[in-house]
Amino acid sequence: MTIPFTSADWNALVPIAIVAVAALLVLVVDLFVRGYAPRYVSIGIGLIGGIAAGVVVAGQFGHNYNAFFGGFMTGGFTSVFEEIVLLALLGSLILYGAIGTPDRVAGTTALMLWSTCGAMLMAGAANLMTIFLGLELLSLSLYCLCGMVDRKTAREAALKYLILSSTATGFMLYGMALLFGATGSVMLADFVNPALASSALFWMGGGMFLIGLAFKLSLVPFHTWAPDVYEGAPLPVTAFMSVATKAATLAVFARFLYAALPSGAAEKLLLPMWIVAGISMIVGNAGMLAQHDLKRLLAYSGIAQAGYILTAMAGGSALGLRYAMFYLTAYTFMNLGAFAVAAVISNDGEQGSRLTSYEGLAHRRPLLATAMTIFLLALAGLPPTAGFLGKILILSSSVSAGYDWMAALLIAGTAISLYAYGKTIFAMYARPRHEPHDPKPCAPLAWASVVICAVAVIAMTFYPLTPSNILPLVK
Amino acid sequence: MHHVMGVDGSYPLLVALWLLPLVGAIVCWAFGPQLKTLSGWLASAMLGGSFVLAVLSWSAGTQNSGGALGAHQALLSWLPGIDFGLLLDPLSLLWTFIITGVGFLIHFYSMGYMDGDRAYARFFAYMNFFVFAMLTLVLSDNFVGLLVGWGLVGLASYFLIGFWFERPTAVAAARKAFVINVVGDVAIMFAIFAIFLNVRSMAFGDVFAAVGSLGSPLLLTICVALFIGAAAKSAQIPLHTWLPDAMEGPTPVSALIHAATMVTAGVYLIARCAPLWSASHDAQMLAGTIGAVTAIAGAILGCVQWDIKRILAYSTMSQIGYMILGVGVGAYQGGIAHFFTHAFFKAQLFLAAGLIIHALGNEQDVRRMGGLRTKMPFAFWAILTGVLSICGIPGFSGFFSKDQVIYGALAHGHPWIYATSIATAGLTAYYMFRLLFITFLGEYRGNAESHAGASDAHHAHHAPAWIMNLPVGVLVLPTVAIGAALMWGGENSPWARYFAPQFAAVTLPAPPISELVTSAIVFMVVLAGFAVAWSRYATKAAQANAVERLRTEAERIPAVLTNLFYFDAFIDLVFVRTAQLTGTLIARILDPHLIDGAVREVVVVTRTAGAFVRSLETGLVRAYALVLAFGAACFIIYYALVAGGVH
Amino acid sequence: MNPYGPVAIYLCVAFAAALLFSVLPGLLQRQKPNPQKLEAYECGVEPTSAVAGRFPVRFYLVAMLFVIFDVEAASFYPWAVQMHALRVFGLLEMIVFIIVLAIGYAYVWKKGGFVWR
Repeated sequence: MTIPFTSADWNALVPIAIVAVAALLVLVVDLFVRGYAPRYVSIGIGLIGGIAAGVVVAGQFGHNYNAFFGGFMTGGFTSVFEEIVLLALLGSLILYGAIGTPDRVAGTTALMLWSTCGAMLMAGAANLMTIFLGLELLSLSLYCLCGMVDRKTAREAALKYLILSSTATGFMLYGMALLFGATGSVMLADFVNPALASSALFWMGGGMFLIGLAFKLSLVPFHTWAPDVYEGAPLPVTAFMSVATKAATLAVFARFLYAALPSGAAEKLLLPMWIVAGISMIVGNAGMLAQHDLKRLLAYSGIAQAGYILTAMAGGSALGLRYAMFYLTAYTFMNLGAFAVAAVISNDGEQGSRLTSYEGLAHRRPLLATAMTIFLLALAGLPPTAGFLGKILILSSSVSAGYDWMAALLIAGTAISLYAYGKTIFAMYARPRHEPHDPKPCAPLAWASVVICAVAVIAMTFYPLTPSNILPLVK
Repeated sequence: MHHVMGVDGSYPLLVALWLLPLVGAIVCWAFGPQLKTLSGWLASAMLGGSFVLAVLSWSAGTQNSGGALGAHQALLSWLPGIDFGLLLDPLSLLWTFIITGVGFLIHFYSMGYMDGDRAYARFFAYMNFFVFAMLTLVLSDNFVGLLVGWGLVGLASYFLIGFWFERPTAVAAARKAFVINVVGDVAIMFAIFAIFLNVRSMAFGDVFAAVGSLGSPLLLTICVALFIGAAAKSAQIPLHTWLPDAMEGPTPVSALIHAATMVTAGVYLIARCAPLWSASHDAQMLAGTIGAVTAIAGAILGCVQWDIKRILAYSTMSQIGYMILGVGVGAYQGGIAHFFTHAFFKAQLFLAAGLIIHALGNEQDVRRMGGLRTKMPFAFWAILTGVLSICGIPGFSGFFSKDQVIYGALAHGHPWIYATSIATAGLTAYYMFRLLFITFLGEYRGNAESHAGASDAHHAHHAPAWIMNLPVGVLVLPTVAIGAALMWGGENSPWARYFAPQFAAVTLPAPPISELVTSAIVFMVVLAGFAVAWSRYATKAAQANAVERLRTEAERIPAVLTNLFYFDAFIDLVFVRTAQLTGTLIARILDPHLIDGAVREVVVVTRTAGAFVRSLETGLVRAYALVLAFGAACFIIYYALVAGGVH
Repeated sequence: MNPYGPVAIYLCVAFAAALLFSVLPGLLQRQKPNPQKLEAYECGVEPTSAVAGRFPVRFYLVAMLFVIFDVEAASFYPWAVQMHALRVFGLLEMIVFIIVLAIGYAYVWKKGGFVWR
């Protein structure tokens, strides 16, 4: 027997390989430098790797390649998710460059790159083994990243994440085993067999598989880890985690929903997911009300946002997937932007994550406050931001798919959230001036990422990026 | 200038007209500290530019198509059914004239009024931003653009009411205005959803063309929702309570936003949606009634106020009541005419009041004024012309527009609204002359001696006085004469001919009382109001012991009036308390007890069981895991049931 | 009957038996303790200190590194078995694998992971 390894395999894997090699390179450079490698070297290698991978992915857009005997597939769908993950990588590396401590730069950068590999693998994963491999690569790196600073809360966060995540992974792995038992195959494409709808093993397996995904998406009641972990982890890691984990898990979920379900079973199988998504929109937004920490606030916000994105997919319409991807892209920009603002503020010597640091920001740094306002408005879903358009699109797709109740919960959740976002915006503008202080010059790249995110959040409102050729590429 | 308008009616200059104030706002905001007082000139120049462009587009329109304006500039194709564009027709052009023209004068005035304020540039940035938002509202060719402008003017109003954010009252007033306006925004959003679901387009033209296909209940629903939005923005009962409080903002803001332009957005909305309203008799009845009630309630409350700006605020509310009842019952030209003349005379009144307030060192209580006629003759004459105009003395601008509204109510078959609006005219005369007499006649009762009069030494470093006097002087002309110039001659007046293409004339049965008799009745009532005010405040006896008399008068005002008909209490009870209760429920009960409580329960249980829990951390992780396990159990039970079902 | 029925019965019986044997003695025993009875059973040793004593954390680090490299080494066996079938491709894969492992090993070494301080 010989193993066929064709150029198609290689084409599919080359973006991931670039990121992985960049990670190794970071370590090797660190090996041959006395003491620690300078910050800009490690991060520079990481950025170059990320950009190179992004260019390759963009160049491959629309081509279908697959590797590992169909276990990893690329195409428009995978490409979009890979680009989102890479954006998260670039954004958080820039933040890390702005505020990170020099002694752990190499290790952190390498781990970030590896977790990106994992997330990219998940984006294209078409069988259970690749999904699990990607998920573990992503998660294991994240556990370490959470504890990569000398802070008690960070270590606590890492440990909590490890323990709870392993529990959820246990469910997921068991679910995968049952799915394999029911179908005799690990390929998602083989789950389309309608005979499976009458297999008890398939239902249990699918259900437990979904528990794992719900945990990764931090849907209520699997959300409990998110606020603590987001708060404890270093800022760049939180920024990365909030986007990349969600994007990668949503890719797996979308492929499972759109390409791997026996006809007629989808509605019943996914009902609990829609219910937890609905609860998440309420609890996530209500949870924001009492927060005093930006990272915690965004953790609860992320819980609700995951609910919004699932709402778009409810019913499994082709349009819904496109709208979900639109919203996810917009979410990437607004979330990374908000974290970038927090990084710039941290650089000022303030506690970037405490909400009190934002009081009177408009008087100290009007441009930064404007950017933050744009991001918060977008997260709240108000015009003229992409968040608004995204929510309108989500509402239309969920209503036309017959999931009116989810649309209603989305509106209710949004109403609740307005208070929390409004409070933060209000604090930036209306509170009296802080004691005078001189803003330090900040890494120009961090500033650039703030501006790019703000422009993107506004621009996406007027030029909706909804590639019409995505859905056929999912299967 | 006929070549500026394209053959297809597209009109690129419109974009410049629309965006100039935005450019001004951004520049003033970003480079405020560098620009210093230049920002005032810049902001004024931007508005001047917009005004010139508005005049150009008017003349271009009249030359092009024989008087009928109709320019449209497409901007952006968005989602299916939603295209953005700018629309210039008689209605939007008229509003553009007022927004940019009166806005320009008020910007100019502000350079004097705001002189020395430490946030001078920020003020002009906000003001220019407001003008941009207002232009977005009136120039938009579709409902979504209108809503965007609608929201943005609310935001600008919020910024400007709370401009002096060191004052807690200003911040509270700003918040109140914003919250009430959001109620209106949500109502309009609802109307827009209802329209979109049925028409599948947001363009005004498409929607109005489809009026016939909308059922009457649906039409009424849409109109009521739109009206709630209009009422919130235009301070109609019961959503009016924010307007008097909004006087916390600087006086030019009160003149521009809370008198001349933004508060009339509700009038614009109804006039813009005239095809919808004309098709729904119930909606007309509702708008007419609310407008009339607001007109008389505002007038009654105006009679018992002591703050000069609050008197003007209630008079604004009352006058907008006229406009709303005019456009509400279907007398569109009359309602719009009253908007037009009101913009001039109310801006005039506010700016003149600002002269007094500025001179007296921010004194606003009329009881501490008095005798200013000799000290500030310019302000006296300015306010006098404004008062004569608002009272509708024949010949003045207010006369032409107000009588059109009053007669229109009768002509469209609403005798009660007609009677109410005549009574309101009498009350208007009473409280406006009361304001005039208390402020300008008798002896000076205040203590701001050093400020009173033009003490040039004190103001030496300030902007020259002509900067503030010039706009007031310019406004005198339209306040007195624009009504006679444009609205004289009934069907053949320039006004009627201008609007003829937009609002088709309806033939109505002649009412029992003719227009001339109506004017006579109104004039008699106004005279009566004037006479009462004269006897109470202007006679020798009244002025002899003015301080004492005004104090006893203030004490004898009935509680129902000092409490402003208990509207604030009502809103507090129904909306604020309910909202607070809901918030408390979530923050105090749901969150800590249901969510935290579940966690705490676990801790308590494990502790009492004598388990290993000693520190909070371990307790929490266990609790987290428990919640996770609970969720997983729910999932598994569900799938087990389904699996059992399929087996 | 469901094919998993016997499994369920077996589970129930197992749980019931375990429960029974742990609860029943407590209910039935005569409670007359004396020092001999409380001694460790047969070959047990009396503990001399608290069980939850403190270990140097280095111990875990070294143990963990051992486990990691041990497991990585175990990956060689499947390749060795299939070496002829996999041919050059398998060889290259394994070389890549070893390079990655070597970089990791070197990194741990450089960062002082093997130093017992």
